[in-house]
Amino acid sequence: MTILTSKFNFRGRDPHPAAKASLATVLKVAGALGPYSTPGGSGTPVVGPIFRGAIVCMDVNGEAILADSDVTNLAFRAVGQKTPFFVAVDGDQDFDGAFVHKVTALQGGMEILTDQFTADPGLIPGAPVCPGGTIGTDVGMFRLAITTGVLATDEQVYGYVGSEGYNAVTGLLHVIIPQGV
Amino acid sequence: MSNYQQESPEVTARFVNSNFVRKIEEGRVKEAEVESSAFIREKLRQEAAVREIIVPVGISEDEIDRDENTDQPKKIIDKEPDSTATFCQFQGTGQRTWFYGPRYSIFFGKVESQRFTKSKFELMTYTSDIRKILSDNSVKDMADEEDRAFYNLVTDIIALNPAVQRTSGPFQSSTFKGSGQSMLRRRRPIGKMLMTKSRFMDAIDLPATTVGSDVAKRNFDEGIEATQKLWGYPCVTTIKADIYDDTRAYMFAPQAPNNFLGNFYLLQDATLFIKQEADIIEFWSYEALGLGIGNALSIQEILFT
Repeated sequence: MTILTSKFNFRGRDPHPAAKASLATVLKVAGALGPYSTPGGSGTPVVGPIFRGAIVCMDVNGEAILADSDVTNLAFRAVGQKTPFFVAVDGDQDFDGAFVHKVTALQGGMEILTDQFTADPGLIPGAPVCPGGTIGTDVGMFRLAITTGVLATDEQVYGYVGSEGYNAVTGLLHVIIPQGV
Repeated sequence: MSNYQQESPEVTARFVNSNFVRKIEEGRVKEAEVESSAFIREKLRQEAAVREIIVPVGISEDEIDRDENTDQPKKIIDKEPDSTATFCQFQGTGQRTWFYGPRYSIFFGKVESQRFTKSKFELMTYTSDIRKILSDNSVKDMADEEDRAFYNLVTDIIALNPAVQRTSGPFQSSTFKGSGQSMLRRRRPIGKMLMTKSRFMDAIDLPATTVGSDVAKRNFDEGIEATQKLWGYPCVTTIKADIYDDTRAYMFAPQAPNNFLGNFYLLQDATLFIKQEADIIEFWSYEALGLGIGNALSIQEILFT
């Protein structure tokens, strides 16, 4: 029975057509600039910080920032909690992203091929991956999770190298990101 | 008891809903979409303030510009090249220049309402015209998004150059005069002003000694709604004080006949999409648009103190 006075309702979006098992959301980009936010603007929208295929997370305002294992944004990690990561489908560097400065972000339950990773011979099928960081100058990219499960290192596993592994010909890494945090 | 139905020019909301459901079930989705789309377009014109400042123009696929790095559309707009002339002697010549016309680009994005989902059995119980209500609400939501994007653009522009593009003062002729003079000193014509309706009501306080007894009497008799202009400048007013700052007004250069301001393109105007799978009906509205200001100096902000 539907009780109309109840405030319960759904919030969410239809799945991405190419990643139907993944939770899809749309996040405003933190710190994005408008076409006239800085001197010299011509009126053309300015690209933002989030590239296509980047790993992002939310800041305290619920806005998307690049996930950085070495610093950040992993505020909840300080109290031993995990942070939900997302993959930005298009980022805000393409035309529509630069215009709206909102990114379509998928949380998990998907397989991807990406060129946004730090090369490592340890990236073999089954190897855990996590967001890069400022130390490795690979913020928002995938990198091998070296010390899996050790919170003090600030590495939080976000997926695994898929069965296709790293393809040296195409330069792409196959990553499987399961559902869940 | 009579066994015939009375004809009435007023159709009940319950009938509208059932008619809406029936059309979908008979596969006449397109007809249901068209009816609602016509309604939506009219409402958008009335309710998005930005559309009264920069009139949206539909753009077709053969008018968009492509880019080798992306499959997303854009539109490149030419700006007027600057030029000068000079007096000189009969044996002199004008300056030589290799002219360059600057340009800027309009990128596009999509505005989409919530996706409304309902069982047709539950929909039948609504005595109000739920289709119209939800369409109307989604139109307002989409119009708000347009206004929000426009306001963010305008505030960015002013924030970069407040010493020149902001005029402060009370809601009096001297403030509006100062704002207009700033525009004209930059050789920008004055087109329309934009402010919230609540701020516009300050015009009621303008005394007869300033605006004349006829205007003061009209404001007293008919209210401020009858007023379309302030000191001759057309005034666009909006109820959206949650989007447009109530303490500010904006003066814009005109977009027509010569465009001194910017561009607003529609890849697709507001469209209602409806589908039904078994007993579940879904409908939502969406549009694709691009909006940009090409001439940042064609805006003057009035900050009321």
